[in-house]
Amino acid sequence: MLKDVTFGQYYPADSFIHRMDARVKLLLCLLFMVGIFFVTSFAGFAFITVFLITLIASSRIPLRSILKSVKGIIVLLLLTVILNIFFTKTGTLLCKWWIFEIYDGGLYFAAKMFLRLTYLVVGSSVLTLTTTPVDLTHAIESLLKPLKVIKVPVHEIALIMSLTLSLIPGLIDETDRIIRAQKARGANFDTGGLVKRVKAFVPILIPLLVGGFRRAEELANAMNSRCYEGSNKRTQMRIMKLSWRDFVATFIALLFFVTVFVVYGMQSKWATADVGWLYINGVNWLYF
Amino acid sequence: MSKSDKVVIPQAVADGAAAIVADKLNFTYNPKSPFSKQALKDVTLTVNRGEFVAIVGHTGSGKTTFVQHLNALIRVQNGGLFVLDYNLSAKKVDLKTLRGRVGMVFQYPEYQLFADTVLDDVCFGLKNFGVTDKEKREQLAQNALELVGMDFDKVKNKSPFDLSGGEKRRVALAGVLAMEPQILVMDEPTAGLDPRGKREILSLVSSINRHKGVTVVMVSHDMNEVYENADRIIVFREGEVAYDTTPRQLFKKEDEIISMNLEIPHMAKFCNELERQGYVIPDDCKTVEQVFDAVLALKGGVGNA
Repeated sequence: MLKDVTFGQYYPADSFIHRMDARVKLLLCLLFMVGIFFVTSFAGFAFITVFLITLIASSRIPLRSILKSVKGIIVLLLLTVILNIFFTKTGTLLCKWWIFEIYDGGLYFAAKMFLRLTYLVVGSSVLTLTTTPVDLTHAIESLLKPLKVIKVPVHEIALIMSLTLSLIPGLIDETDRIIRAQKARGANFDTGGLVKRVKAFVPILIPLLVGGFRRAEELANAMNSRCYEGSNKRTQMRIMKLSWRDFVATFIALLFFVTVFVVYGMQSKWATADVGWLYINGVNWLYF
Repeated sequence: MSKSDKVVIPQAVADGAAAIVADKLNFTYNPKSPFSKQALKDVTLTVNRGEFVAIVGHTGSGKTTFVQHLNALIRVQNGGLFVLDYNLSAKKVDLKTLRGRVGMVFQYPEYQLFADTVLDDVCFGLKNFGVTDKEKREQLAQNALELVGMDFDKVKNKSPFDLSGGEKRRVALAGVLAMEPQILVMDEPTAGLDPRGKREILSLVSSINRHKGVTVVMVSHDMNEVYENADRIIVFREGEVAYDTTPRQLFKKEDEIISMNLEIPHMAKFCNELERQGYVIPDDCKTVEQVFDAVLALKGGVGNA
């Protein structure tokens, strides 16, 4: 039951993206997130769509898994769309009912916001689906290293993160076992009113907390008895190395985003000119 | 799920001789995903009422998956499964009464203790299974705690977290026994206990089996305890039933047992060696005393009658 929930949603496969260095993936993902806020037109979103489709295809992740993460923000998406439709008052008035007014500007803006948020989630889920949580932690540690100069305990932060991550599967297993054990004693978690249901979780939470403390203490003892110390001299078991894949991916991504930045970053200058490519029927489609 | 519509109830279930009948039971974890793993393959077996059956097998052989089917913690995916007079392949199963009649003791059961007092914890199951009368509940709890060898008046108001490891396990066991189940399913009940604690738990389970007629299904890694206590041993290998026979017969196949990463019990080794030397040891001789008597009898000497 709980085992169906794979933590960190990593999807094992062997692909170009899976084999890339986690640090590069993380940085490119950040670049993508920044880049997508520069894009302001439907032409641009079409461009990004093509990019994302290529990305997903080359990562060999089934579309189903990616849509699952979009499903997670569906409420946020709907709310954003609805608010934008009703509260943007630019362009021509399309219809009016009581205090509600819908302008075409609002529709366009809502659609763009929808695409932007969806693509943000899709982009970042490609990262988390192709990278194990452990690799991701290592990548964060490696990228934060410069902060050591200003005395940020980077190693310790990364250690806490990776210890937490490593305890989660164990805790999920234990939760699962406790739920089964209490069910075997007739516990019922699915019926009754709110108070009754909350109360039904006490027989799970208490053993889980007790077990969590026990595990933490055991781990602390094990680390202490091995004289663990997070110093600079520690070496890593898995050394991250850049390969040709990372350079190819970075090159493509940079090319892509330079294009986006050039086209949209200088929008003010180009948009005022009534000529340009894709200038059809009096509309500059590049910025529509 | 049309399989539940036309079920042929096995004869052994119908006349009440069998406690558990599994017929070509299959189970796959995370079906249709990259993590999918078949845990049970065509498992077919019968456990008779009042029997003490041990299930052994290497880690990942499917034994835990199988026993969790027995009180519908895992629902049947494919195949037939009858437990007492419940058809677990049916769409709807009366889980509440089933789970009251099939008691399940998990690995490290002390980790499931949660209540303020020992008495409350033992009563948890009883409350859930609808024993509404408080006095009746306490009486059943007292019986169970005394059965596991705890001093009821001394521990009933103690916090279960203040007890020692062995005591915690016995309290947890009492929490299941209080429901007076007809089948007791246990997943490694002696794991992590000291030799004395192990012996106590095993003799307790044996006596519940013998004197109360409770059917016992025990998963274990300890071949010595299995050998001495079980009437029958079922060996799981990669989700299939590899052997289903009496302890003496099973451990005569020494090479095959070792090739499955299982150990030969000391007494079985000893008996096998005796038989190679020409002694005939009856099949029901398992303990040191029994074998000793059997050898003496063969020598024509006087057994300690």
